[in-house]
Amino acid sequence: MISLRHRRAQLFRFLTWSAAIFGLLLIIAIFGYLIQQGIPHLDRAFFENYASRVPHKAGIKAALAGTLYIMGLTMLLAVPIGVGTAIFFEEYLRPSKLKNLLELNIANLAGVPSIIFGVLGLSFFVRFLGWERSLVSGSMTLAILLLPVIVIATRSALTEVPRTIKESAYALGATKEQMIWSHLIPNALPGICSGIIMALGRAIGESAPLIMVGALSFVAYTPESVWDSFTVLPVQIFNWASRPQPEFQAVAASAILVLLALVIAFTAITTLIRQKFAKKKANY
Amino acid sequence: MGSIDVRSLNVSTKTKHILKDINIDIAHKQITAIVGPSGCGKSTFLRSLNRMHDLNPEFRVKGEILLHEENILDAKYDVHTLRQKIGMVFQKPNPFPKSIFDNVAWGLKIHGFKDIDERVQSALQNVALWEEVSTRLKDSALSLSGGQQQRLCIARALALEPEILLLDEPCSALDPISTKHIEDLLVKLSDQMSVVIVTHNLAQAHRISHKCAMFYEGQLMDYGPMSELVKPTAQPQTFKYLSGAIG
Amino acid sequence: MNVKTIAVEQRPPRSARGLLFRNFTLTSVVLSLFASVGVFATCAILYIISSEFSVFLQHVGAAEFFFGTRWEPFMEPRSFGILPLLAGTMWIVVISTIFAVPVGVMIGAYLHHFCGRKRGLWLKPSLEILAAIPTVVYGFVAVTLITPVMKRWLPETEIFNALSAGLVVGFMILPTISTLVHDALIEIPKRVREGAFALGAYPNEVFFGVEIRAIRARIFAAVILSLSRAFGETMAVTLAAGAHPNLTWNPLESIQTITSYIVQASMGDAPHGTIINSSIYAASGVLFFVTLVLNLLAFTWIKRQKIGISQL
Repeated sequence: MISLRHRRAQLFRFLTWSAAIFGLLLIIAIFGYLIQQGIPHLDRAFFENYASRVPHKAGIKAALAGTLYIMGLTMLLAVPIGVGTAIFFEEYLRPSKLKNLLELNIANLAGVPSIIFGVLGLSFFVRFLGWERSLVSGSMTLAILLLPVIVIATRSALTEVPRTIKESAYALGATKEQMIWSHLIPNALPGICSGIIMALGRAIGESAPLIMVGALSFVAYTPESVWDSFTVLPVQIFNWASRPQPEFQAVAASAILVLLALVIAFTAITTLIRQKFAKKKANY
Repeated sequence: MGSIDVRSLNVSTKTKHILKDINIDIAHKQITAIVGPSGCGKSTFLRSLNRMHDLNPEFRVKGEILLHEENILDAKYDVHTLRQKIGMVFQKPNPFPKSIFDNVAWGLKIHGFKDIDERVQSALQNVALWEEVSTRLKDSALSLSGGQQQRLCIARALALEPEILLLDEPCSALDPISTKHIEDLLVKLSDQMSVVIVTHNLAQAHRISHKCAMFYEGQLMDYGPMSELVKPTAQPQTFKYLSGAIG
Repeated sequence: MNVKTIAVEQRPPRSARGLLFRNFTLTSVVLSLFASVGVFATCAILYIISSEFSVFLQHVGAAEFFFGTRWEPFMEPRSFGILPLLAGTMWIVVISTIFAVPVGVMIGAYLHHFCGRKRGLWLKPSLEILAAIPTVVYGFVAVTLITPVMKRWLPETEIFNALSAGLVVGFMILPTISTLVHDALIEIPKRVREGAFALGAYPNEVFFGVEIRAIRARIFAAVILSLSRAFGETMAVTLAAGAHPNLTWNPLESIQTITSYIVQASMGDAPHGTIINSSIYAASGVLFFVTLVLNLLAFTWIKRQKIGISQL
């Protein structure tokens, strides 16, 4: 005789299990669908062609190049500023109202929708500074967008460095700057790197701010200088996906597979670094 | 024939054989103290009695534990009814993040008891907490002192009218006055139910226990009234431990 | 013995004491400049949005903007009532949250109560994949996969509709909720859970009776964060929800969100000074303000949680 109480417990167990299975099935269904749609078009020509009005001639060469350039430029800007800001908070700022305010500011920026950064980029870099729709505008905008992510990840990496390491440097008479370069950063490096790569993984998929800053969708060349216009993979996907013709949808799917491959690669690297780092910490 | 008869109890994990072949009859309506040096398996033994090891898949429990002639370790035995009949109080007070009233009432509700208000009151009276909290039953249980919280935890187990009460070093986190309150309470309760208490405090075992089980490295060394165990005729480890030579 | 002198000698060098700016090393100056970028960003956002927003409000009255039920910026007669866009955004927010929160909580409970250690090691990171997929991809999936499937069951579904877009945003948010819930659950001290089980409770009773109560603040924060994310979601809704400002009770219809209007308007390259250009900032203003409030709310709830758990 199974009581109502027991039945309820069984139902709960079933529901929670189903929820987890549903999540898994979701992933499988989405990836399965995308692979099925996108594989046919993934050939060499796809990577070597530029966008085209004719679906089967369309390729992601410009978008891929643009993505790589943007990532590179953005990281060049965001990493020093982000890591520097985190170090400044950790090592140079005394606990005070100012510090709380600055930290709140960063936490807030982390939650601001990405399109707002696009608005910022459009007004400030494109118009006010007159940089127009260029790689610099795009990378500056993205750098500001990624800043909070990198600051937060770096800070948590910094706080995980055991105090004894810092103190041993001071005990030998090192200045703060020497301690930071020779002890703090090297020990926090895995965490910092994983944060940077995580930011990269996120940046690759960002389209809204770049659209606003002018990542045009019909770009038939790879950028030569930082003042050139450009496009990136997610924007190219957006453009193709918005077209009504099903052939373009298929091309979009292929581009999506490339994008996903990049994102998954970065996510995997981040996870690997985190795992290795966790093992290393156990030695303390 | 006691309340609980333990037959060939073995508890192990993948890496360690914690309890080795325990055979013991827990006396009925008496206070049984479980003593022994750290790591000898006292808590593991206690937690076997209400199948808390079910919650941990790494633990392997073998043997028989008989309550009213039925083996409670049998998979078909309803563990939820078991835990109503055998209550447990933990080392550090662990009240739920609810009101004082709800802490006691919750267990009653899930088991389908009626007359919740009366039962809560009588449980709180049983642990001598009623006068102190009757005016603030809706307050959070976390606002009580350590000793009060522990008595509350005893009350919520008592509310379910158990036959046996298990306590795992219930006073180790408390001050001496609260400890005295709880010891007096346990002596009073032993008229109604069997009490099994794991304790590190030998003086406490002396004070309140009728019988004492001495564990050492996972084995039951000795079992009998405290007065017997301190005699040199007892097992050598027992005598050594109880006289303070080993800890 | 002069204790004071000894104390001074034993203090670490000034640079190591973290004094605020007494010590002008090059590094500290450079780093402080870096740190000011974040401040600059916020100030710039606030300034740009508020200045353009006020210009906009001078042309279009506050009453029309905040209470108007018609948003038609391109064709005459023009109208700039934000409510249709707000309604569209709310549809996405509501649908995604109604999906993500219960399912996320259930997944968190599964990971905590029923999932074995080995299984949990790969299950939890795998679910994170849902959060890593770029939003453009979700928009694509919504239009090409979800909507056609929906059309088969509900033929009156439009090609662009709020439901598919909302669902897909829910998929995006799902792992965030489940991770938050699970992380909160394992923070509850073991003995509290054991105490509940020791009373003879089933896992569902422990979960609903004790654990949810203990992590309440965290769940609220998770809900608010998901509201905020859904509010600011752009690409998926731009692709899948439509470009039709529509104040409607029917999620199967085409709508437009605040975010997708911003994209639409800025792709048209309206020059500075036009009303359409200002409307971009007006919409951004509303967006920024709402997400700001929601985020601050979430932070306060998370702080409350930290206080709550430490009492246990």
